[in-house]
Amino acid sequence: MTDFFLAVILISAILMSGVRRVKLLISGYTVQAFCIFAISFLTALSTNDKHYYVISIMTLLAKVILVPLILTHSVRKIKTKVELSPVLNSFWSYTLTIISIALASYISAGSGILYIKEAISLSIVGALLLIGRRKALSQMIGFLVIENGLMLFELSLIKLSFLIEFAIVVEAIILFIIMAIVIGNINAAFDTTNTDYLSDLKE
Amino acid sequence: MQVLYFIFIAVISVLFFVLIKNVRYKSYISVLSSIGNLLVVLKIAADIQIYGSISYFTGTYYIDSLSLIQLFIITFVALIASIYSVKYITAEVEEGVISSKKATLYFILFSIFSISMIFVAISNNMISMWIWLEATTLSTAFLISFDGSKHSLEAAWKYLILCSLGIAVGLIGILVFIYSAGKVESANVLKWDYLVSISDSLDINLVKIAFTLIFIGLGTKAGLAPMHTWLPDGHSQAPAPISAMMSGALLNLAMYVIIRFYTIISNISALKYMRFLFTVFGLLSLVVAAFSMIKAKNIKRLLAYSSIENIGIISIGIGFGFFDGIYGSLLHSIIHAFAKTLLFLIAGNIIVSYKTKNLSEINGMIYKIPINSVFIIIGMLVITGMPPFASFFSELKILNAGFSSNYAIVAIITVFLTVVVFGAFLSHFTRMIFFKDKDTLPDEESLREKETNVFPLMLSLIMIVLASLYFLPFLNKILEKATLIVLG
Amino acid sequence: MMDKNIMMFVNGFLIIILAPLFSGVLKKSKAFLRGYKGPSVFQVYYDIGKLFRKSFIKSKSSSAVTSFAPSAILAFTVVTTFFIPVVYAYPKVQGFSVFLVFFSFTAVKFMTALIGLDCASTFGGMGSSREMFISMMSEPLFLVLIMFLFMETGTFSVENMSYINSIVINDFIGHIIAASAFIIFLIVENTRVPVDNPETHLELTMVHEAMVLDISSCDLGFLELASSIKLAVFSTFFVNIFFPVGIAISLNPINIFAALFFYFTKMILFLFSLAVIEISTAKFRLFKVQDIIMAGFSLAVISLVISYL
Repeated sequence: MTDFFLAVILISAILMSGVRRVKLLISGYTVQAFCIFAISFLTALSTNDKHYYVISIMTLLAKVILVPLILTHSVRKIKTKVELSPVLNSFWSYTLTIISIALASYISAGSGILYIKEAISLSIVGALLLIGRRKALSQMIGFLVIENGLMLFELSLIKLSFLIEFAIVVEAIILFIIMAIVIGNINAAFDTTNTDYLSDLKE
Repeated sequence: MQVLYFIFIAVISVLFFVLIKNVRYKSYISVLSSIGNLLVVLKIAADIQIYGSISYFTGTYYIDSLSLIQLFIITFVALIASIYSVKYITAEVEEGVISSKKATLYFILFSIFSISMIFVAISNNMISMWIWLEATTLSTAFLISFDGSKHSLEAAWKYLILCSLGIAVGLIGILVFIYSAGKVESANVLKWDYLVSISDSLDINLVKIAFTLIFIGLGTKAGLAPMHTWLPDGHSQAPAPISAMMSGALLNLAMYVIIRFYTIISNISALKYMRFLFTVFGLLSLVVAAFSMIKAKNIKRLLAYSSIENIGIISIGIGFGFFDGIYGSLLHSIIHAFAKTLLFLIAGNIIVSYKTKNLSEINGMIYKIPINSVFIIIGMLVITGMPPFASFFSELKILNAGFSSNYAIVAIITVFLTVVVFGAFLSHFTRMIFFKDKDTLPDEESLREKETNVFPLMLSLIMIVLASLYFLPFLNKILEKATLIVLG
Repeated sequence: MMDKNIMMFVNGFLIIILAPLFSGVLKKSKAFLRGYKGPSVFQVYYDIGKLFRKSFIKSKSSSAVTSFAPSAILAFTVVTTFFIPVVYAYPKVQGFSVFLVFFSFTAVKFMTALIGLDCASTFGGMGSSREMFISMMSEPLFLVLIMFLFMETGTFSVENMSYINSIVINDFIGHIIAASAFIIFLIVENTRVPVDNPETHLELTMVHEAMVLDISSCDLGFLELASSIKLAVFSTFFVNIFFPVGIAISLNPINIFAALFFYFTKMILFLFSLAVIEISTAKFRLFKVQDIIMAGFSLAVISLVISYL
């Protein structure tokens, strides 16, 4: 069953790397967060460990409900719909995704960590979104996808104590809220969130 | 117990910030809380003289000489910065540049920032150290964009993205590190002292990957090139006391975390080439910083590049190894913290007097703000490594270690680049201080009053002098013990 | 052996006879989702029958291609129906290779493009060039998918693939990713909405319809039947090779009837979800179709890479 969710995560990640509409990026992120919730819930069921239940419920509340809500609210406020001219156009995004995931699969072939291929793929797609886009909102979503990949990596390792996983998730949420506030300020000051205008400080 | 004191002080001061309306009283409370933190640290120092090292809460918090150095730096720099903030913030609120609600936010974030840094220094648990380091990123993000201008927003966005990304990479490194400790189920696997004791049983390949990821990720936060690009923007747009704290304390703290990881693996003989990471990145930082300083046009950017250069020197010192190299790096981090604080606070005063950051528009300082110009001359001498100050001896020890190792060429390049840095500082500062450009002279009376923010500068100078007396037993013993900890 | 060959013919006839029914089901689902009653599911049969009764017109400026091409297209399409397992799959090692299916459809595309060029109207040429542009990009997609299927099941024979997949699926993650890549390929090949609107005759939006504008009566009937059969063949390929749940592997009549029932259920579910996809997107402009095909290509290559590198 976890295989199905892992496959959905990969599909959503690959499709996300090339789309330009911000709403599709947000839905892709929501789908990924939901699959991570499902995987952690299934792990909780199989190991019967209480703290996995709490982590999965927290993931559900925070990443599947709260974060997309704030994102859609920001999109409405900032009035950005489509990334018109990204740094990496669609063709190169997909090609770089293929090459990086191939490399990552090859490197992590012999490792015993459970979900390492999917975690690395998510991180790479997130990095491509972060680097290859001009709008600050897309960059932030790329960062959130990297955090998703990190969480998947964490789920597959030996368990950390509950307080620490809780703190990591809370940290990610606070970071996201701060980024959203800063993007709001940038939009208010510059009237756009195109980061091309954010390259004034040079010497 | 002392840990609870820190939390108690922080909570009480935040409560007061919210309740009290007068900005001046708020700033006094901030100073009082910094003094409180300092007293707790002094008590910890006294305990360490007796016990050697202390740990609390079943080893969740662990303090030894290495962390004690960082605690000293953090609390003293925080104290000096909070004393400076008294005049700085009250002046800005009186002139109406920022609202009183924003001043409250400033003080609250300042407290959170200091306490996060303190907790990074005293944590034993790797993940809790990472969490508090991330907390420093969160609390300084708004402090950088404090004046709300377009440039500061740009700096804040770059800072957020780059540092969060760096710390995320660092987290991956930490997780791989934990995984390399084998299938140990106990909670001890996250603690330093435990990991140092089992350092032989770690899986070599995984540790290599983990340490490289940690170095690059946390090196972003420490300002090593080529991950330094957020630093000139971030430190130049933040208000002066915050820049001082970030340059002085935060960069050192990030290096401290990397050094902690290095102590775990420094005993494994198969990984002795890892220390070349330190040398290579340090040298690169030095090169980038030295040549950028020549072209700098903004006084705070000049000082930010100087921070990158000094962190590069510290990193090269650790890369060289031997007793002298590490002792020199630790001493250099102390003296750099206080000297950079001095310089940034003077830069704050200059900006308040001249209302500009551009180097070409600042001239004739000796005529207008003589006390500050004397301090800036002394500060420049300290930071470039002039003899009676400790920075000379620290750089000397580092170069000594460099020439004893096989890679003397790196030491030669370091010498050359420090000369370049000295030349850059000299040319910029002499033009600023001594030359008088008749057209751009503002009127002289209004500037006399603004000279009065001099007390924190004197405090920094006292700390520099105290640090320069490092060979006296109280500092020497701590430094020696810390070096032995790093060398394993 | 004899029984197995008879089953092959049964497969073929089932698809030929049921293909217009499936097209009707698709249209009915779209209508239902859009909120109107829509034509009955047997309407396509009546339409094709009506076309056979009409009289024949041939333009003077078209050549012999227009005379024989529609029949050839129907012939190629009918031949492919014999290759795809509908209710029965068995490990026939030297069965029909999947490349035969692929190249038959390529031949169909080629002849349709020739028809489009042959009628010497502007719409025809435009349709042919668009069709060739799209298929130039989408054929590598299917070849990568064939590669994946080969690595997974070890055989090129279609029936063998179905048989092996119904027993055990080796790489589940790669399998699902390849399935989604195949859905994209199906949409592109069968002129479904994100790529081409089959219900319109507007100049800017036609691809397939543009090529057959000049054909009339039985030839048009042949072409309509051929496109329904093509949709049915692709859907059956998807349903029986990627998710061969319930397909019969022995010649038991009970198994065969159960397999028939499963087949219908799966097809109807699949056609319904295809209808959902169709009504929820608008037709993309031509150069955006590249993005979709590139996405599908990424998915296919990554499914290969994840499972077998």
